[in-house]
Amino acid sequence: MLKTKEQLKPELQKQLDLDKASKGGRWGRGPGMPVKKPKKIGPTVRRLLGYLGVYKIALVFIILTSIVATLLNTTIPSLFSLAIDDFIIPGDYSGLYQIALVIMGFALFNGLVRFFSRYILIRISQGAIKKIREDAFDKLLKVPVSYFDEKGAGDLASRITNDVELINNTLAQTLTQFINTIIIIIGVSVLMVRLNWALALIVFGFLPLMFLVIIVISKKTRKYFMAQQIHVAGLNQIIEEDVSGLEAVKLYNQEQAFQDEFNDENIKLKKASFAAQIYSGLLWPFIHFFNNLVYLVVVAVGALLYINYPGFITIGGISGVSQYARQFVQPISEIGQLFNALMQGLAGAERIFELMDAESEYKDDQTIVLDKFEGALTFKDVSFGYKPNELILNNVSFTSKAGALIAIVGPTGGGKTTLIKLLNHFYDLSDGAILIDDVDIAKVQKDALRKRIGIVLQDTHLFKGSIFENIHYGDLTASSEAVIEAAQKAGAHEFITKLPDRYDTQILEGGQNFSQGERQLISIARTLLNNPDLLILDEATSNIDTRTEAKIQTSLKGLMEGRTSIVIAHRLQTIEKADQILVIDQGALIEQGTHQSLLAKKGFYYDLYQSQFTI
Amino acid sequence: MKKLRQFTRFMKGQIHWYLLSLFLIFILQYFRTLVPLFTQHVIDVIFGNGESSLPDFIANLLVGDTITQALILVAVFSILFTLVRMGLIFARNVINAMFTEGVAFRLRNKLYDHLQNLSTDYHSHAETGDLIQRVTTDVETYKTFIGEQLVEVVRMVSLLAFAIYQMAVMDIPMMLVSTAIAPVVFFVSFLYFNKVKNVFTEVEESEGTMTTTVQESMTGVRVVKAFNNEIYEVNKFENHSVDFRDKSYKLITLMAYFWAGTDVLIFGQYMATAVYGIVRVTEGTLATGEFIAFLALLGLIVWPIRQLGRIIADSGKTSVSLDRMEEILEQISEYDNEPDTHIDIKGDIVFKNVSFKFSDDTKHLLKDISFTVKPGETVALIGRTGSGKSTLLKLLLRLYEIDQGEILVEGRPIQSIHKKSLRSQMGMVLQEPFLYSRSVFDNIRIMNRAIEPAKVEAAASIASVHQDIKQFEKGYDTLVGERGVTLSGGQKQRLAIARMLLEDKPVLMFDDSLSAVDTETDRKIREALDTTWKNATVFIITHRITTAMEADKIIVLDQGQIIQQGTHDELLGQEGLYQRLWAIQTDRQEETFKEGL
Repeated sequence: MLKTKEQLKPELQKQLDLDKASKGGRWGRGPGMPVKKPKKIGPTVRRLLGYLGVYKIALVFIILTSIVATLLNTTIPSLFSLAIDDFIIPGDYSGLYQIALVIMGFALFNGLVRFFSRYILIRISQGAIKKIREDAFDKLLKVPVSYFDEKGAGDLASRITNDVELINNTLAQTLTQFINTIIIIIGVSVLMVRLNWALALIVFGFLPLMFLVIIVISKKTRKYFMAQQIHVAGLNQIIEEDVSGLEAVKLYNQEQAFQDEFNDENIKLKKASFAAQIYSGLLWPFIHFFNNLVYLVVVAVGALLYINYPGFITIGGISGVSQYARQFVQPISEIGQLFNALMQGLAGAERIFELMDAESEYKDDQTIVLDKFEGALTFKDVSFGYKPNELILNNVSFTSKAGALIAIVGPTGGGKTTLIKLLNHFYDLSDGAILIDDVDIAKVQKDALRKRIGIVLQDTHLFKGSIFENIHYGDLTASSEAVIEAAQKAGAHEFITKLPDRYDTQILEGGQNFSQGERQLISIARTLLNNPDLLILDEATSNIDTRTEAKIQTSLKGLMEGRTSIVIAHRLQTIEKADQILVIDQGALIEQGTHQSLLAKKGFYYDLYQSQFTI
Repeated sequence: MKKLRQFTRFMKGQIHWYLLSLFLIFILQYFRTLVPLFTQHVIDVIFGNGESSLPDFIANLLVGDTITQALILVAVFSILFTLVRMGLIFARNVINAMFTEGVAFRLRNKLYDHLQNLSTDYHSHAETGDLIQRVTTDVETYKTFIGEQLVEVVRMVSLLAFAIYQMAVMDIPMMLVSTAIAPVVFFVSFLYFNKVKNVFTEVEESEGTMTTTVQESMTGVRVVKAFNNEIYEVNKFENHSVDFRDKSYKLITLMAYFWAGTDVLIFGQYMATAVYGIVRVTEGTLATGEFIAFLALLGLIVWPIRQLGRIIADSGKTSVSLDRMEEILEQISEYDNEPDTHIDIKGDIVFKNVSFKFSDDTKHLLKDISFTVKPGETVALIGRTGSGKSTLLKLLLRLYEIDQGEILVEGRPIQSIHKKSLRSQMGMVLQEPFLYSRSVFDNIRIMNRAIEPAKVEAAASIASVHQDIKQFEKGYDTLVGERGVTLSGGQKQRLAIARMLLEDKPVLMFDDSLSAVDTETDRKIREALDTTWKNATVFIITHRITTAMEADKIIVLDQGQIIQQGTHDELLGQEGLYQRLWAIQTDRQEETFKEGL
């Protein structure tokens, strides 16, 4: 499930997504959508139009044609009045057939224009949307990793799907609907006044009252629809927690507590849904009532006028205004909603553009390219914090030889993981420098640097796709033989060949259909294929069973051979073998040396080692 | 018939409200078809000298001495009439909303309660997301169907019937002409919506794939960048993006054809009625007012017919939802048929030739397990992943039921003791503890929500997690889980230990529950535990041999069988897995240690 930026109500968005998935409501607007106002309308619109490219002209053309068509369409009741007054009442039937043909022609033209404009518009917008989506995605892969830390990966992903969809709706539907609605309102008003100003005034007289009622009802409806969605999300959350942790619930005897909680939320949902149904059900009867009322008043007053002031109004005029009065009510009731939808679309576009304007991490990329590292590593007074004033690492300095095995040890949360994250320049240092083969990595081209560094983390990220594709990911130019060879070296070949589909076995999202150990073996194979010069490793803690563990150890040994390796170590074997041990605690490098020298020192490391053994 | 029973099953005791709501809809449609007849009355009766098409009881009320009087009567009456209609509509909305919300409410509660009481065996095969959908979305589908879609069908069918009736009363040939194309529109819509469903699914799937790609690239952005595979990712995404666009085009084209096509049909219907009507009016065989009433009645029925096709095509969805809900309710609750025996547990536990397999599996996860535990003993379970250690403990909690053999607790067969009695006296700390989306504080005292803060903090201190919590911005009020702070594996495990420390349970189980804690913290916690829980019977599942060696009894499991059991010294003396594990894990440690000293 996607998470969104909506910090206020993430669960609301979750529910919206759910609804979208289940009802397929892509082409509709939810009544409860929160309205977000865009900040800068002008620039956003201009940029959006830019995406239409040559089709901009098509868009303008379509809008103009549909305006013409709508206008012609609104004249039909006038033509009817004409027909009644000039042909039906005098009994001129040849003229009647002519005017019937004109009416038919107008209606047909309107139908054709509506059909083609809608079709072409949706196609144009799909094309533009595709481009926006791809640009946004492209940009997301160029922004620094810290951007993801800040905004949240799930949130960014949802922008590309949800916000883009909002733009799509705006371009393809809302915009023309909005324009047409305005045209209808204006056109109908003018034509009514021209037919008979007195009757038109009566129609206008009803407007303020109607607006008031519509606004009040819409506000209430929206409020309760939103409440409804929040409570559904609440229920979802309770079920999710309960079901995914059901063993715990049963173990802790929490069934009743959960049931009560569910019941409470369920009652709230029932109340909100009830209110939403009632209020939303009010709108239509009211509009309908107004519709009839206006119609009747127009006909009645018209008839009275006709009887008492025969020259002032014609039968056709009464018919015309009464028909216009009916055409008038619906657009009036919709205009507010359309405007909100339009604003929502623009707000979505604004968010997407904001993302596209994020700074690429390659903007000031350096030019030094190293084909190969020897692997001599130096940290010179390195300080770093994710936030400028909260340093996680403080003044870390050390040097090590090429090809060395460096073990990092220390308590949880001391800064070990942060230290290794700095090596491939995902983050800029707050202070100091990291040198590989005496070259400052800040001066090396980022892609070239990362290409030569391999990382195997505890928490392995695999992609949806086959095992083969996942290993191949390490080097997309490698042959299939090389892929299998890498798997063999990693010790993954054995378990892969036991699977029914072998290398073609599909890995599900998040790699959930493989055990953590297996995932790690695949990840090691992937890194082996990449053949990096410098290896970063986060050793697994004891979640993996002993046999797989032994396999992973052998596999890692192969991986570390002949390369400089930096390992967050949890295994004694690794620590003892290390050429250099770095003891990190509270962001500082407090001890360094070999296993023997550190033991002899009887300091922090000695205590750590002691406690580990005596357990 | 079965479908109908299934359909009405959830309305029990309330169905009369529903029937009333449907009846009101029926009546309202009759009223609705009267509206155009008022116009006819005005034109043909008041201004002309024809007959009124309004039913007599209304027409008789509208007789005035002068035209003006008659018009005022019509106006006043129609306004009153409209008001009555609106009043009825509102009343029906209330009845309908009360009924549907009540049904949905009870259904959700029922499903949820039942869901919770199902066995872990059932839940191990069910997907959480799917179950959530059944309790919320499927209920919503059903609610929409009874509250809107079915009502809509009744509405349209009655409207159609009354409109045709009113037309027939006025003029039968006109009626036939005016309803000639309507059936075609209905069938075209029905066929179209049936077809478009599949295309829609294709579009949704394509969008789903695209979304997955985005999410994976975003969450795995470090991997993407580390391997320099940005371009590959972009290409992959563009392929999905193009596919999605193309599938959307297909859908759009279909939609365009449909809307345009039916527009033409409806337009044709209007033209047919208009042309024939004009001919009849010029012949003098049809009154002008009647002609206008025909056009208005036609307008009432011809547009909704498209929707009718859609609703009928969509009703399959509800049937699927019903089946999905039924499927949950048909499962047997794990508390049905439980013996009402609650006993005091001290820790006298005997396993006699116990075997276990999942109901849908052929392979036994545990085979022929026998061992004895005395109150106060500590038992270590050691073995590879998948050797059956956790399953064994879950049998003792009756989260799973044994197949063969016998488990005796305090001398009684385990099946004769109520599940809740067992579970309330045996505390288990899971390897991946489950944290609820609430504060750290509430998470620790989850089993006893009335416990005072001081005790919670004391427990957290023993579990070595107090310091960590203090470092959070909001301390014990920090929200954890999905919407709060993400805790590390080690912090979660320590929190779970703290949770258990608040309880005084005679039997404790630790399912590898300190695996993510570094070894020093592990030692500190276990020292503290020895003093707090010295009388408890303890089971420890572990991979660390140094943890196992202190136990009174060590059970070594392999592929579901006990291959060795005894004390550390006994097992070390035997050739076997335990000795090998010992060798692997302490490889050279001893030597180095001696050298180090």
